[in-house]
Amino acid sequence: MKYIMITKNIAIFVLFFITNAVLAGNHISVTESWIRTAPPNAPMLGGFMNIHNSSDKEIKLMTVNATGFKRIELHRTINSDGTMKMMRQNYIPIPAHGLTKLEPGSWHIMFIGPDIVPKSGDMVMINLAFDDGSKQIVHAFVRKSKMMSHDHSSTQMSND
Amino acid sequence: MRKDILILILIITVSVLGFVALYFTLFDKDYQYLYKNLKVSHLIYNPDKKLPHFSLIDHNNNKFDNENLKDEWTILTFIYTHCPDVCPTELMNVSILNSRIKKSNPSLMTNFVAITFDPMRDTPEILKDYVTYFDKDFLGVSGDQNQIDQIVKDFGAYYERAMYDENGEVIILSSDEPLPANAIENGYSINHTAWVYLVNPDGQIHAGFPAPHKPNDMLIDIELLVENY
Repeated sequence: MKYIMITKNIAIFVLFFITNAVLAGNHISVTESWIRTAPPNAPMLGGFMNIHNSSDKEIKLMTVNATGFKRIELHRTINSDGTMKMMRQNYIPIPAHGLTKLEPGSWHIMFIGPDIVPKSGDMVMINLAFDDGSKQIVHAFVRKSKMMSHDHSSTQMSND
Repeated sequence: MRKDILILILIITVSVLGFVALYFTLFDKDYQYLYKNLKVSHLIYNPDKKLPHFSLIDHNNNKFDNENLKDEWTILTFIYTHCPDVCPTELMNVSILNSRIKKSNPSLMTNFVAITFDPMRDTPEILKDYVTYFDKDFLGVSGDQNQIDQIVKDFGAYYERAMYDENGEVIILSSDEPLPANAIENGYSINHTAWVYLVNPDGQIHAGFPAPHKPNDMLIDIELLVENY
């Protein structure tokens, strides 16, 4: 009897934990992700997407991982009295019940030191990690510019 | 006798003033017309301020100097290949501009030049692969850092270098400050102005287009500027 109780409690706890992790992940959705095509000798590429946050609190994108690059950083382009500054960011904030657009001229992900520069039509799998513990896997296609018509990217949640 | 001299002086003075007024009225009218009708560009041309002599190298390792800016209109930008965002956007827009010019005004011969802020990393060979990816007509230009810095200044452009220390704090270095030894290994970015320049067939800076660059509007302005040249 006792063991059944303990097992039951453990099961509830585990279920609660998984549910929380899944629910935390449920707050974030990513759409229109793309990586801009670049010259074959480009030292870096820019990644862009729309990150939606349906929770009551601001969520921060902290790190991005993808294979085939030396380093991946978060950046923001700022026009400071006519001088365009590309500033490294510790995180990218997504406001509560809001959206942050990563796009040229603004927030973006910098994929530095590609082993091979991906070509137009290639897909890059990107792992996003947020400060609330949630993660997202994004499939971003390499394109010359953002397509307006329909979204080719897919998003997936991971409980890693 | 004195009266005659006075009258002569008066006539000369009035004539000179008259010519000056006429000149400025006509001159002013052209420029007034342009100022009113230019959509996205700024008229920079100053006949009293000639572009000083410069000597650089193009991406085919040929000498590139003031003579290369003569005889045709040139659309000129300053970029660097380690630029993740602003420069690719700029080069894409200038390439679109090129195709618009070819389509709607094929008799307008234009050269396209992209000068690097960063000759240390952007050698002629690297520039060639990079700029021709955006457009086969683009000519990359590199050279001695001092020459680059001078031409950047002469065009009214600006750049500074940005590095990050171990704590992730940004360190800004002005163009005349030397880069530390580990700069290439650790990486640095360049903050810079992003104007596209129009150079006239006399090799003088004619107009400038600040970002964001809209190729259709740029084309309209370029046609107007060329027409009124």
